[in-house]
Amino acid sequence: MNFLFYTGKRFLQVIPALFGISVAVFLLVHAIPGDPADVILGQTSTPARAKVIHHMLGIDRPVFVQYFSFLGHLFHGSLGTSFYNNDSVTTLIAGRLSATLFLMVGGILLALLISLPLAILAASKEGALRDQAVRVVPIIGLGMPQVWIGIELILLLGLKVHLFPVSGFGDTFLQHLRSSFLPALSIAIGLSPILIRSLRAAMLEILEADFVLTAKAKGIGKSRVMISHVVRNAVIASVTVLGVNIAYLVGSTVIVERVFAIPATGSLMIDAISKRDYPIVQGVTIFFAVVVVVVNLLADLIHASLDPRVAL
Amino acid sequence: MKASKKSRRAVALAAVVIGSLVGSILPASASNSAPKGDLVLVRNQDFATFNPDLAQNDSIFIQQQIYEPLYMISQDGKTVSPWLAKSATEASDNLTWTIKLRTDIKFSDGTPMTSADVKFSLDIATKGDGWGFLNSAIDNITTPDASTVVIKTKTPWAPLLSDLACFSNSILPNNYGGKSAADFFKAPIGTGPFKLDHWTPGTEIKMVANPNYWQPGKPYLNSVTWKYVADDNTRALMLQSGQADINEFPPATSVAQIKKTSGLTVQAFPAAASEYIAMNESTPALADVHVRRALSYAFDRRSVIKVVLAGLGTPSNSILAPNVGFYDPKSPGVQYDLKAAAAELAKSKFAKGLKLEYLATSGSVEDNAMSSILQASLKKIGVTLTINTQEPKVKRATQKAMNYQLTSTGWTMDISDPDELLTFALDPLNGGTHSFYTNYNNPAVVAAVRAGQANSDPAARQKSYSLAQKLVANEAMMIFAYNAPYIYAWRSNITGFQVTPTLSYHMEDVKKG
Repeated sequence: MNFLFYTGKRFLQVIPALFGISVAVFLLVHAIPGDPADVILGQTSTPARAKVIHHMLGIDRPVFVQYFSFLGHLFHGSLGTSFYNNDSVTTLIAGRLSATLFLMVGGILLALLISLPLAILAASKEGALRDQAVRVVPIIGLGMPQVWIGIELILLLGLKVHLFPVSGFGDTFLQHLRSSFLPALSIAIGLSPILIRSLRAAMLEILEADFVLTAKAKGIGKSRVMISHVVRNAVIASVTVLGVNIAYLVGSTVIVERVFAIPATGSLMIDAISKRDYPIVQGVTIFFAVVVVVVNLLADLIHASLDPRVAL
Repeated sequence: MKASKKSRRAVALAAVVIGSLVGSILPASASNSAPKGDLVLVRNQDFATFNPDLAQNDSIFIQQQIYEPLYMISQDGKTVSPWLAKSATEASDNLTWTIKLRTDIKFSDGTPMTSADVKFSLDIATKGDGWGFLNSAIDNITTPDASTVVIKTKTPWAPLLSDLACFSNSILPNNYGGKSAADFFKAPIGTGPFKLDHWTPGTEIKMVANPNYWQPGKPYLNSVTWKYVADDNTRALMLQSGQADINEFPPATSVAQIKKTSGLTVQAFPAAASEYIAMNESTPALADVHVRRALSYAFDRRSVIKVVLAGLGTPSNSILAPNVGFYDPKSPGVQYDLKAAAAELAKSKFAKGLKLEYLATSGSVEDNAMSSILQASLKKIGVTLTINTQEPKVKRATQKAMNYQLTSTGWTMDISDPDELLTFALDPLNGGTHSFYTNYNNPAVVAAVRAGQANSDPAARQKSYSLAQKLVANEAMMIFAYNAPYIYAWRSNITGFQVTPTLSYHMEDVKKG
């Protein structure tokens, strides 16, 4: 009963949150200076011609009228249509989602593949040469711009070795996988320094924990203790670090999307901002806001179902 | 009656002989008509629309492969010649134009093009919110027969054929081929060398050869794919790796490097485009002609061209670029001369020096160079120039609101005739932009521009436009900065790629070997 009450309460809390986000996004988008009519009319834009375009796009109406029209569409499941090609914003976002997922999931997986062994190597002997060496890696990694990493990877693995395409996303699943490897690696190289640091710190802390000392006292092998006890617990702690860095991850994808010409949601958003395509900017922001709110809600509900104290 | 074996053989032999004779008489292109080669062009702009009325540079060059106009701009950018039309005759009233159409034109779906399609297309173009202003002189259009169109203008209108050559006056099927406008622009058809295969917004647009194209043997290519790749470096690498065949607008600073790369060709095509620095005459100092002339003298055009264009450009001497019809090479546009700048400033009411602000585009290499080079020169003659930067669209809004003193601006010709630009830039009433948002207003210039518009005699038009160019150059209406070319790089197995000064690509002439 308590769980049902909690679920209901959390659902009700989501509604004002989403409403607030929709108002904020709408007002912010309309507050940015710059005229969509200038994009449509180009160099020949005059105030008189721009006025006609404003009417055509419906942006000559009072802002609150535009907002309620936007809200009306939202309730019908529509995020509106692009100012420039009449495409449905929902369709445009849907078309870009798979590329975004490939980049983000690929980036996280590769970052873990890079970070875990290095962190284990460093933490297994604190202060040793290998530890010092691994601690330097994050500093170098943090200092390398994503654009530069991307270009270097293209030059080496795309142009010289011909292992991967220079750019693009391909048409089939396998092509997507191959095309997204280098961009995901660029993201991973940027993300790894943070992960290595947090994993190493967590491992060193766990190595001192009572249960690890007990395991060692029982005579369990060093590597088994490391894998079964230390790494497992350190990864849980680092997942929080990864979660906090999701914003960084989204930011990174925008840059690699540009360098590798991958059509994902980041470039859709950036292009829309520069063209003042309000419906797309609103749509992408609302979409990600809903994703974040829903994921948080699900996490809370799962947490509550596992820990009855949360609902009290 | 049964034909004998011998006579059948004779008939077969005759057929082979006649066939081979016909084959040898027909042009080679017609006998070898199967298009081959798939070309990929990479560009830094995403295609936006198939609606000609709302097209800008991101869409125009691509649309032109599907739609075609009645007249076509020449390779030197200064004149037009018949394309889907056969001829045009201007009546003695200077108001009636009779246009004869070609009768061998078909849309890509096989439907013949007739005067009904032309009337429909020109009518919707005239009503268009975007480019309709180009057709503002058109009063009405009639179609006496399937291959004749009569256009009546409200006033004598010399630029008519140039206007008809603009992409905005492309010929579409009558009534959008029975579809709604929205549906048609998702799956358009035209008379052009290619037809749409698919369009993935944000990624690419692919076209395949139009089997009904009216030019025998063309297009040579099987398909053309236009890919949107925002990053300059990535486009360069794609070209180098063979993932792309043509790179649209590589940075001028990369030209030397491309020239050194084997298997690549780079070319700078002359452009009918100009870069300017606008001066807002609402600012008291800039209403003073001597101050404007001083600033114009102080602008070191060659240094900017060296920094920004690696030397690939020419200093401007006129409001018109050299590749525009009626450009006057003798236009007395002020050139860099610091002594003359100081002398002009001494003649002004601001001889003791003044402070001005330059509004630049954030992140623009060109604007950064232009503003800082001007700033350094002006310092030497006692003018303090402060540089402020704004994001491109914000800067544009500031310019339109006329909340600036000096700012960079530019123009790319859409038609061969100077009328569109000169009306926009010099005629405050008909241009609708306070003369390029400068508040410049000289009745003698306005009269010259309008005289050029109304007179069909080329010599008389040249006289009018030369006068307009001379007056605005002497009064330094804007700082005429430089003319930059359009730069393209391509793989050396690509031949026949040409670009007109108004940025038209004739992809039907391109071959991939």
